[in-house]
Amino acid sequence: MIAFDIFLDEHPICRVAMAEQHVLTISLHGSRAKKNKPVFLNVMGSAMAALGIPQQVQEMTPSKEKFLEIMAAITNKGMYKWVQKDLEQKFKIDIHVIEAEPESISPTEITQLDMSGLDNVIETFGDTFPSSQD
Amino acid sequence: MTSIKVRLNDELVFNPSQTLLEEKGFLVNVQSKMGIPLGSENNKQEITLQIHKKDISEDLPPALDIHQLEVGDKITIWGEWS
Repeated sequence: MIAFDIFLDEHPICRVAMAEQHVLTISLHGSRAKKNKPVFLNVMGSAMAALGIPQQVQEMTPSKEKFLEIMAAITNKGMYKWVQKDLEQKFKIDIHVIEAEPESISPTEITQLDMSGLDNVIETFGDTFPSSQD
Repeated sequence: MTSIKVRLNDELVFNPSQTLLEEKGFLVNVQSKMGIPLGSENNKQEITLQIHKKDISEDLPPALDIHQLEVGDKITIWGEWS
């Protein structure tokens, strides 16, 4: 299977891969939005089946209650986490795309999405949902 | 000093200005997916390096560079973030 070897400052930190119908993301993010916020390395995966929105939900009139219900369902499915790490001021990340045996993939853990920012999202976009129709 | 450099197989693909980094930040993703969307007959694994040139929390859609990846590719990201 296709996998990724990830190194931090020349040291191997994990080998990651996921099966079909999953999404794997290795992200490196830096922001000045908050002072002194460090660079953040995040290696996670998710089963896209968990993110599928059922047809009956698509056909419903949207409502904030239904939106929160769907987000809660996604949260409960959890995500696969390999690395969540703040980096030092100077860093070097290497990512190698390789063929690897499934047995060699680094162990992962299931984690819940942090939905603490959801209220902020709703505030940002305004409470524009119509009231629940169900 | 704030600096980010991304190389793909020794080719420099991202080297933003210090001003851009300090004002907008950056986001570099390596993403792998297969059999997405669900039910599609496309079972080819899609691997990409995605570079957002501005903070994703700001103007949408962000400027985005996408590089297709394959086995043997090597990505190196150097950073200095102070």
